[in-house]
Amino acid sequence: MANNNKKQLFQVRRRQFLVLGVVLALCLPITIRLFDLQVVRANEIRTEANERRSIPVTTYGERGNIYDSDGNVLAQSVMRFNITASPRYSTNEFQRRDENNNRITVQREQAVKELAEITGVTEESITAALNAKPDSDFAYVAKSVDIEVLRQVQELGIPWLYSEQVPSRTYPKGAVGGNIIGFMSKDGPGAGVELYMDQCLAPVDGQETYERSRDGVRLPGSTIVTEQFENGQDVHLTLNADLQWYAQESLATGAKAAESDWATAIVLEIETGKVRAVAEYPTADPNNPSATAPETWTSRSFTSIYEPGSTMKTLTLAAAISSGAITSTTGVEVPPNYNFGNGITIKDASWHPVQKLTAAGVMANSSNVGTIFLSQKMSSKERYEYMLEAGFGSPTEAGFLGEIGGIFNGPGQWDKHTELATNYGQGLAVTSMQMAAAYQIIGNNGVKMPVTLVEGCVDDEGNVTHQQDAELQKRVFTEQAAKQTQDLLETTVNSSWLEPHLSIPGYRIGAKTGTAQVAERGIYGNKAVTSIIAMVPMENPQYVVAVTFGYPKNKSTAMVAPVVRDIMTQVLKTYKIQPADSNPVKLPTTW
Amino acid sequence: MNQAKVVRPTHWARSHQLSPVGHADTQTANLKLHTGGLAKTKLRLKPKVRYAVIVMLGIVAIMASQLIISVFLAQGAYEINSLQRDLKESSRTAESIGEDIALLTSPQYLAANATELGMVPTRDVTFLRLSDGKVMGSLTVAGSRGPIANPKVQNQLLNQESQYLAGILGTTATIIEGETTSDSSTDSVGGSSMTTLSGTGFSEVVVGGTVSAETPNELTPVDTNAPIVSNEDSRGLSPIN
Repeated sequence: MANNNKKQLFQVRRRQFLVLGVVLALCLPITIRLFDLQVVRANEIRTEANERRSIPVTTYGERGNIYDSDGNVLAQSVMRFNITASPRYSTNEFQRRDENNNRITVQREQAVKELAEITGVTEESITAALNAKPDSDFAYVAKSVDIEVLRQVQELGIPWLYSEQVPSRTYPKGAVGGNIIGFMSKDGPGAGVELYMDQCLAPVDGQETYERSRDGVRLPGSTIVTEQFENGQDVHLTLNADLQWYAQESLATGAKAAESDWATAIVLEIETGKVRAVAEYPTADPNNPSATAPETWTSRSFTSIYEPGSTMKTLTLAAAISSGAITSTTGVEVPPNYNFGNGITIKDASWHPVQKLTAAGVMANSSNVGTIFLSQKMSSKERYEYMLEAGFGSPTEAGFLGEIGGIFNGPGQWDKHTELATNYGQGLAVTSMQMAAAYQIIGNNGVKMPVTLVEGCVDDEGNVTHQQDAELQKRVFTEQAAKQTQDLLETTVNSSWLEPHLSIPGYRIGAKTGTAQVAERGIYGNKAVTSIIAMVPMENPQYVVAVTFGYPKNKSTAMVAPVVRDIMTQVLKTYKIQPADSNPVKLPTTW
Repeated sequence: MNQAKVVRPTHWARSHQLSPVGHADTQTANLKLHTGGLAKTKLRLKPKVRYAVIVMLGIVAIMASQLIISVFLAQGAYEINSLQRDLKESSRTAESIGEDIALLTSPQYLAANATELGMVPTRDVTFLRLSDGKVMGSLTVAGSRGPIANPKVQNQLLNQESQYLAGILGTTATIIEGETTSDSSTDSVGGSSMTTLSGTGFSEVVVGGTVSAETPNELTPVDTNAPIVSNEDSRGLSPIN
């Protein structure tokens, strides 16, 4: 009996092994095949599969916008569309549903006519574009249309039309601050903030691939972002757009009336050094860059130099008071001209008898001789150092594209004549922004603030970069000196011919006029640069308004005054500066 | 031979009913295990079927749920696609409207509309204190500027003539290039000049006013039928044209 069992067991076992053997024999080639496909040829097969289904896509970042100080948009990124056609298929007629939902057949001419009506492109150009290369799949029908036009075109249901996105730029406020903002051309930024802040504004495009089903839907979970796109940062300027517009309008009116070649008007906030308006004439519209001459695409306030003339006297006297040499009531006897030795005779603008003038009187009468007399109570070297500290000879802290520092030679380089002439603003070259910035120091009781045009760059998360360095502020004049100089400026307005031209009822204003001769090929000719630099309110100055006319036919500074007063009025309204609660200062002008 | 008195009702107990406790039992047990008998296999089968069924049901359930999930996933993908398209269209519409708003709030457009209404910018600074209605600053009618005619600060976007823009701007689309309506004769209206220097401590100061030439003492809009007055600047400059 035991033997039987053993035999049976053996048979069972053998059967089992047989079955197992067959199964294995079947499995082996399958395993080998599997191994081959999944391991050996894996990459090859995967690549092939991806190529058939996966789509690489560029994801576009958006260029940053440019804003003014109140958050109004000055430059905006927008999407426009080019409408393209496939000329090859355009010859076929197509079907679509009309208003009554009936199927109608539409021919090419009809389609072209409708297209022309919507896009504003003439039927002839569309037909010409389609006929230029009848076998190609690509021809431009309309360029840079906006989304509304695109939608209307899409509603036409023309099957041989396609669209492509064109990231574009628009400037909603037109020529307001146009030359400061700059413009974008198809080659990139062309001028202004668009150009020199491009590193902030420019986006970084990204890349991603995804797999697509046959009907174009993205397969879930198949998106691979190879590079994340980054939007450009927004640039915030210190400009107040409405004030800027008003300043430009007012400046253009006044500059034309005086028949000037160019003009600038600057509003500088005294407490912070921020540029609230920098208007130019002539000006440019970034929506239409080629409509104006290339020279309009820079900012003369930052890049054009000229000899300032009498507006410099304020700084000379401020330095003299700060050095302790004089006060606002120091008196001198002033002849109409004076020989300073070395064959140099300096004259006042018009003849007058010898006058006993205080510093205030010298300013009010804008006497060249009187200014030198007062200034010579301190050394020229000391005066030069004050001027360097006040920012002359170096570009301002604003960092505008192409900004220059002007020309200001000092002891060792200047000749005797220049040494004397720089007292009253000849023999050195400045930009109008430098002049405004120097008056900011006086208005701010002697402390210079960095001139600032760009508040900063803000990214998507609100991080701010590229802000002005707060460490750049410094004391240039003593507080006493600055305040006394403010008194001089106020006396100049209310004790001279300027008073009716510049006064704003209820407000205390200080100002200095300047008529500077322009040297052409080393010789002073007929051309001049007229300017007025003013500040308000004198009980606690808050804003500098500096207006300059370049080479006006009418060289009287009385032509500049209405512009200063208009812009100043607008400044008072914009910043809600209350009327004066104290009496105006009127220093004695004679002794 | 000790027989287990208590018969445990588990399968384990049943198949090992005669768990070897004595030598003789082992033999019997072995014999029973090997020569099996249908009774033995039947006993083992019954419990196992239950588990097989559970496993099969489990497999079916897993496969079914996998199928259902993948259906929902695909449906979701289509929904995402459709929503993304809606989002894209909506944000494009929003952007387009935003552009229109930016254009219509441009100073050129506002000034053109104001001029058309007959408003003029004033030369003086006037404030209205809300707490007591006191007017501060000065209110000199004779000091008004002429209207902003022939505006110097252009905006190309307002000069375009697309149908779409015309739809938004309506008839004012040509204002920027329009002719001036100023009357160059010198005509001083009223002439009341009110200069009020402020007292101390203002609680609220609001509204730098743009006061129309027609109504010197009230801050109300001008009657559009009245002629627009352009005042010659008393300092000798001609009206701003």
